Amino acid sequence: MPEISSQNNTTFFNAQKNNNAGFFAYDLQEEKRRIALGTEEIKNELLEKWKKRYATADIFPAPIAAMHPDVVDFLLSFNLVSVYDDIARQTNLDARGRNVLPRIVWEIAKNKNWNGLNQALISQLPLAQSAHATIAQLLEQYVISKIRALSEKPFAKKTISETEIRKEVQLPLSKALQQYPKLGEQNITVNPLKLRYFQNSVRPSIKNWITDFHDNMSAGKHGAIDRGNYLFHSENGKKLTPIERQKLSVILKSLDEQTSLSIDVDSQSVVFQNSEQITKENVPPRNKNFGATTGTEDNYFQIPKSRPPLGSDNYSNSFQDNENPHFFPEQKAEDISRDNFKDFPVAGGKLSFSSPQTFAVERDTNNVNEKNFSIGQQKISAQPSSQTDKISPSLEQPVRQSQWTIKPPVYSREETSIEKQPSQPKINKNIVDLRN
Amino acid sequence: MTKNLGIMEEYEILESIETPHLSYVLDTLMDRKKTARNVLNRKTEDVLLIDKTGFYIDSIFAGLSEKSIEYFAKHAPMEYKKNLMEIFRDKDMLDSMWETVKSMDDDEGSGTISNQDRIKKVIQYIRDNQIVFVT
Repeated sequence: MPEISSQNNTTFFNAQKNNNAGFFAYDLQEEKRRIALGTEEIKNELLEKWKKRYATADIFPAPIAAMHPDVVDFLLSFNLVSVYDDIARQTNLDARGRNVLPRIVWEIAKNKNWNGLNQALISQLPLAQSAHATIAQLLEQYVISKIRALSEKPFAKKTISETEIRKEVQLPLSKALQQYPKLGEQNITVNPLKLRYFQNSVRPSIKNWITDFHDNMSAGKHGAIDRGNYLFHSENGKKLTPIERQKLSVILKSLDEQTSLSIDVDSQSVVFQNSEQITKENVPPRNKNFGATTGTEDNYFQIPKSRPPLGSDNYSNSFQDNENPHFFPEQKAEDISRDNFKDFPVAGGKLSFSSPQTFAVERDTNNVNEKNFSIGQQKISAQPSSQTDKISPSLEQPVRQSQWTIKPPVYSREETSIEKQPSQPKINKNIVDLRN
Repeated sequence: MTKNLGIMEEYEILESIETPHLSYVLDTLMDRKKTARNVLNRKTEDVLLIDKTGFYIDSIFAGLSEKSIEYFAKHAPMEYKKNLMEIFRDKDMLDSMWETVKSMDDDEGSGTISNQDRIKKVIQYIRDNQIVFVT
């Protein structure tokens, strides 16, 4: 965007003239093109998926499916509507009579009863003999003769060839990379990556993501927590959308734990299940309990409808603002108690991570510590609350539930007076206290 | 994902392709017409990308064209066809569909009946070929 200078307006306006991006560097045409391209890509993906899903579905009822496909194709052509209309017009048939014609034609085609037309017309159309003859002649001329010709053509029943069905194999990533080297070049996210030991940005391919993972977390085997840290806190990981992060987590899990991935042999690429399936595998059960992943059959994104719209003040894609963040994909709900956090990098009772972002648990701990510190030497009644002894797996209020019930210092100073008048509300100004 | 789209953009596009009938905000006539036009402007094969539950919805039916119904009859699985036939059993749905279609004609100028003609032909086609729509 050109700099706006009051002293040099001419330069600015000239720049604007030459710059289609406009005042706010927003090129409407470019945006439209991007959306159109994206839409086309999504459509193609959906079509491919649709064809795969319904490859063996019944298109017709059994008797029709048994007919010659060319005959069915002909009988289902839209032009026949006007052919029947014309015949009805020529023979003065009413609407009911006209609607009988296609029924008769279908019956004849189904049973290959080519000589049964007259008989069918007589039985189903109460008309004069001459009218029957005319109708029969017209039907024979425009429809029946063509059906007969088509039905005599040889045909082989359509079967799904092996090539139509995508060949998929289940392999761990390391083996798949050995067998299908092109697999490493598959892009799994959108934005380019910044590698630690490489100056330029690189493609977000599987290979590059693995390189970045090893640069950040060292080579070798990693636990779920390490992977979670990498996915949410690394330079590249924190820029990912939830779906991209899920895809990457599947890849990294396979890398570390040798879990199998679906590999499309033909295109040499990892076939990611739809996000619902990915979520089922990777999201802790607590998320499932709260219906975070429920949606339509092919809900790719699992974005709850209640999420603020893009661009609104409340919208944030960062995991901190997410009420239901997937911190650690493989972590179980029962592990989320305070006692089980000993495996975390804990320093002095405080969780620490590479980023300034804090977890809900961390925030609680911080709150306690801060309050402790501010109250100083004052005696505080801090007792573990029975209800909140363990961190509730409920995600509805993940932060507000504290493990400790703390009386603020002001109460401790006025403790006696509060105890003497435990439930009397304060009466202000001109409100008359009717209790007296 | 190779698409250069944001997650919300992708979600909105998916919704408009698969479940345009669920994008109603208030179920107004305008909403229904918008959905009907969405269906009408599609390529024939893209009509099948609509979720099967959409085919007994008035606004989806109001957007069917001669070409799309032919493609539908030839390629849609039976479960789709079964849903499409449901609309003929629901008088309210049919009334609402006609209201949508008439309003589409009104938008195109007084005296225009091209959309009503289109739907009449679509219904006639289904009636003629009922045998492939019902099990």
